[in-house]
Amino acid sequence: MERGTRIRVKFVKRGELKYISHLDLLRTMERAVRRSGLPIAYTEGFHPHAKIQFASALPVGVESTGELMDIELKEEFSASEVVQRLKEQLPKALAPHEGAVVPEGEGKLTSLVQGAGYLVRVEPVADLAGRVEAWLGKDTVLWPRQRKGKVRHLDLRKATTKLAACGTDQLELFLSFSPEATNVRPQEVILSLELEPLFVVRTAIFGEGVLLAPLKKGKN
Amino acid sequence: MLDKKQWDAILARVEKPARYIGGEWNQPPKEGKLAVCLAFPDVYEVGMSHLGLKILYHVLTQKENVVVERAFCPWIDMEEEMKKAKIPLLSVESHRPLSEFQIVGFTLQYELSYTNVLQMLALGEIPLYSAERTEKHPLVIAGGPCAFNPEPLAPFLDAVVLGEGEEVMGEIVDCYESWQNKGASRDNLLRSLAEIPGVYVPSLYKVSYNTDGTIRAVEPEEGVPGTVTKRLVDLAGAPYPENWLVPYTEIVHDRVMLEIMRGCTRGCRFCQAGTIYRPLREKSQKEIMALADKLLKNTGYDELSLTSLSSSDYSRIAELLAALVDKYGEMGVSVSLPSLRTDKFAIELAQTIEKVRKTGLTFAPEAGSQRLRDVINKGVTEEDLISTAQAAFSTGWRRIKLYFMIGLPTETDDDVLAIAQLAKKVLAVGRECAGKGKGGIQVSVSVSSFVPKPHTPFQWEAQDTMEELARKQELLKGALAGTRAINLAWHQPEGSLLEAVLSRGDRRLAEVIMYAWQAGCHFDSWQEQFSFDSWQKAFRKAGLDPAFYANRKRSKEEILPWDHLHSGVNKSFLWRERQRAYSGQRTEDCRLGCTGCGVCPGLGVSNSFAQE
Ligand code: SF4
Repeated sequence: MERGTRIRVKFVKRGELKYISHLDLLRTMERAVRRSGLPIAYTEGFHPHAKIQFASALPVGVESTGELMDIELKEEFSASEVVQRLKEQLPKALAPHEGAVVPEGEGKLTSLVQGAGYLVRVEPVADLAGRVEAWLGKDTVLWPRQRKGKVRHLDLRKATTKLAACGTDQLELFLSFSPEATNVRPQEVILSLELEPLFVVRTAIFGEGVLLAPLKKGKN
Repeated sequence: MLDKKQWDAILARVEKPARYIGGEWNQPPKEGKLAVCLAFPDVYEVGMSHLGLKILYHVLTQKENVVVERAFCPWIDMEEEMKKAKIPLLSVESHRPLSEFQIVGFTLQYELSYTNVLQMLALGEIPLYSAERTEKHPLVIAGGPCAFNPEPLAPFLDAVVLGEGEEVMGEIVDCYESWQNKGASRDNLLRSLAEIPGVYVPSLYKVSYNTDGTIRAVEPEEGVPGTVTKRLVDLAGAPYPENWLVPYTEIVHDRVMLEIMRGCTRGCRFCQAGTIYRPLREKSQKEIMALADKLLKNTGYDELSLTSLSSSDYSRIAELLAALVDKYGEMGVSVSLPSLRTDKFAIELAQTIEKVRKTGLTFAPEAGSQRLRDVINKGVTEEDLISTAQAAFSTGWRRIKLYFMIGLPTETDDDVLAIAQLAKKVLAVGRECAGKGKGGIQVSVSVSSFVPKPHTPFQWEAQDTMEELARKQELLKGALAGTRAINLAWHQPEGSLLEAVLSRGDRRLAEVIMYAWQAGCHFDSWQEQFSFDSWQKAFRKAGLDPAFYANRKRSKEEILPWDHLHSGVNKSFLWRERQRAYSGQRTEDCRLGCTGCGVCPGLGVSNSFAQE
């Protein structure tokens, strides 16, 4: 193969588009790249797929100010041109706003990602800080998750690397993506606090290696 | 005004919220005073897959002064949420209540969606009966294949469009605008609409009945045309969406659908589409290539389907496929044909487009025996099918799907058993071609129950009773029992019965539809939602017998509920075809010579074939 480029793009997911699933997002991005005319690379085989990789699936219903995806192109391109061309093909609610060329040899995006940060708004509670403290004091917080008729218990406490109350109606939450804690949803942590999540936004994705500013070398 | 916070909370709770958010790529900017809502009486994924809706949406977008939006039937969970929150049915684009549109146009694609029309009107807070609507309410119109007998929905619809909507839709909008400017009465609007060719206003016709329940007369009011003839467009250069909406969530046909021709010349006697879309009109290859280019560029789709009633009949299909594969294959675009005819040529075509990925192939012999295939005028012989299967299996395909119907006119048990025999022969051919140690040959047999349709040579026929259909299904199951490589799928006879009732029904059925809907029936085409029991109660309550509509043979003299609605094909031709069916005589494809259906001389058109 001739020299290609891998471009890491940071984009938002806002408004009602928080309701499209990860698979929907994948399709949408692939189509946007195709419309942009960028020479995207495909996987080999019977069902060729565009080489687009996302950092991590965003739960349905959660907005984001900074999702990450890697796009592999067959030719060399500057990150700014890729961002610009994608912007023209995407609704504002999915607009890309930063990009960087991924250095050769860097691993897959999914393997670099270690966790994510969320901001959550809830109905005001007088002693939000106290409730958070009590929650953090527990060793485990098991949460049942139904899937195909089977119930699995996730340890929410273990997946949570930071939980802090801001005032009476906001929470800052960091979740780790370690294998044992896969896919804990921010809403589940909020529900386990006996709170109703009114609005959830992912504000950061953390990881090792060259993720994008301000995530560079982010440690959680 | 919609309470955004409340709406958001609802979206967070429902299954598939992406059905309700709109904002799809290529959504046109909205401007204009006259708001038209294209309403599809099913869920978003189904309605968005309908080509007619896309075409009309495009046509109306082009029209000055008009804002066009869409509405679909909310799924049960959303319906409950909206009722609880007292939110009316909203359009997808601007979330505007249905009742705030000037025109609401329903697509009638299948009979089992009729209760959904009532459902959407009711959720949209629009009075259900045309007679109850005033100048303040939207004009409610409908079109689509079922519009060729809209009688069961007659009291609910203000006007019905017969045939192709590309031109007449604009005329309706113009008519509405000038009526609005005049500030005249609603009656005045309906009367003006009835003057537009192809527009049928049911309330301007009085239907009377004989004591045996058949129709005595259909009488138009003074000055209203006695028959309404369908509209047709010249397909060459006809408006076609180049910029269509790309949904976020997966829809049923999630690809570019490119219509390459309209109409079919084969004359299968059970097929309504074969009549109502006549004559055959092929687009030029040049136009198709140009459209393909724009559509793929504007949508970013990687799949292109060449749609029509029988795409492998397109005169230049081999050249067209080769050109498309040549141009777009490198870009990872796959091309598909929705239907293949049963011959070796079709396999060659399939090979052009499925060089690597050999999924299944589908063929429709429709009947098991040669005798019965002659009756229905399906020009496929057993040799055709066997040699086609041979060609397919020996070039690497592993799965073949066969479509059949049971309950066809003159059918005997031998004809039913012949389906099993044919399927077994196909399987045997597959195993032979695949050779030893290369198993995995699969034959799927899909059997539906024959539903006699208006405007076909079988419009006078009785449908088999449900018991008879069930017996024939058992017969077939027995004949295929133990053959694991053949899997059999069939439809529930209850749904087919209801379809048969509604498709050839008269106005009195409106009451049944109303009762059924009131009893909670909607989404009848979704098996898990279908309640035959409720429908039976509705028939009893209205004092009507479904068997009168479904299982009764009509005489030649009987006035049929749709006799005043003209598809261009003469009733005398349909009767002649019926007689030929009974004597087992085939009628040739009218590409090879006119067979006298009446469309071409009657409407001043002709079959037209593709240029380069
Ligand atoms: S008039 Fe003749 S050529 Fe035209 S559609 Fe009918 S049968 Fe075919």
